[in-house]
Amino acid sequence: MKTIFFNLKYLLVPFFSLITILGLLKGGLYVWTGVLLFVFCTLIDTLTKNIHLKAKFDANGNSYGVKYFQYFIMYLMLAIFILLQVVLAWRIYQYVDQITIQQLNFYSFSYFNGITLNNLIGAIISTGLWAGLGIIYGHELSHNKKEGFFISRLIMSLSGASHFTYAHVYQHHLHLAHQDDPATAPRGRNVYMHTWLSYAGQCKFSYDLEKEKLKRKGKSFFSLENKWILGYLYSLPSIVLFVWTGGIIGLLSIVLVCILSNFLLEALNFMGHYGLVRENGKPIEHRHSWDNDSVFTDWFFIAIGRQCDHHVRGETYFWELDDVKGPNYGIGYFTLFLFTLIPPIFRVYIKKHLDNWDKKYANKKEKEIASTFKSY
Amino acid sequence: MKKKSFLALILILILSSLVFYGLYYFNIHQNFRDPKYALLLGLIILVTHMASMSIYFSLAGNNPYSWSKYKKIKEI
Repeated sequence: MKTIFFNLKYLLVPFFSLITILGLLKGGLYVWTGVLLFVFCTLIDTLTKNIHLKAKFDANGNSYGVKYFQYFIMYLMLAIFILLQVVLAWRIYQYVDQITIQQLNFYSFSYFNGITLNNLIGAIISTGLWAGLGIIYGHELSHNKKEGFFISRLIMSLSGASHFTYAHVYQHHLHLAHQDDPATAPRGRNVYMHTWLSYAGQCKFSYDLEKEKLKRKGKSFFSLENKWILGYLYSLPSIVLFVWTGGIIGLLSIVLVCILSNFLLEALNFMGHYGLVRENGKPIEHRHSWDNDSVFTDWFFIAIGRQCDHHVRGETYFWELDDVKGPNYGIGYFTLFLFTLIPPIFRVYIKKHLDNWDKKYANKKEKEIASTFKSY
Repeated sequence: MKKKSFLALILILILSSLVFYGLYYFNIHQNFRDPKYALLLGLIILVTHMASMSIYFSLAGNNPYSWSKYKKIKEI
């Protein structure tokens, strides 16, 4: 029983993603289901912010996590995210063709055929939010050295961010808390600027990596061996689908979905490492990340909030990551995300945490580096 | 914004405008339901984005990611 509950608790995103898809299929005001679920999750996360659980192991020290089940779910998420895009594309097709809005039945499933502009906007936001939350699976699988790495590339390509898989493992995990890692936000940067700089910086890493590699091999940059180019080509089916269904409107929709998804991804990076510093060349330790491990965040984001442990044991499965008593905001990602959206409020909130980090966690050199920043 | 990033932005805007004007001029946007045109449009848009990113990387270099603008003094 313990094993069943332990594994099922990580199914919140698959479950809510399917409900979002159902809302898009149902049509009418139901297309806003994804947005409502996001609000609902924010409320639950805020109400349960004080509940923090440790990772659980049996008497022999083994985790209750069932690897094959968790991997099956993560691979299944690729299909669910594709389905999410296909259903949105169907709604765009209906809008562009100005299909008359009427209630129809498919067997016993009643739905609205056709869609208004207001509801199309709701459908795009719902899709963007849940496609963005799906990035947690792209993150987890990027640490897999086998076929999972490729699945990660495909999941990320649905948001036009296939470069993330390489940049996350070979740049972010090596250069964390230093300016060589664009995914670490320095003190004073806001989440909006960070989204662009982190996206472009990680993309540039993949671009430079492939350029150097192909130069060494004596091959042209314009080659199918170029994983930067290949990563973008993985996004081509999504772009063609949206262009075919909606022309300019379809193109604008997929661009909005990608912007929203990448904003959520970069907001996670922003919250995970904001303002933390490390002396270049020194090892990465628990203190170089922020933990967010309140119970709902932990289950919903498949323990991605256990950043302190994750960055020291990068190859460890998410269900084995634990509280290592590193720096901790004490609240969940959904709640903190609201603060990050309004930079002046975020700065006020983060000040006490950064002061505490400087006093309790930073070594002498890190204190010196931290003191060189203009603001929080 | 640094001069080089600004220049990159201007070049990206010019490139994107030319591409979209070209698509408009040849009426490609009106044939989006033809799968061949949809594929062509998708490829053109993707290549334009990749070219834009390349322009940004080449001109702006590593400057945008530097932390120096957030600091009172230069990097320790």
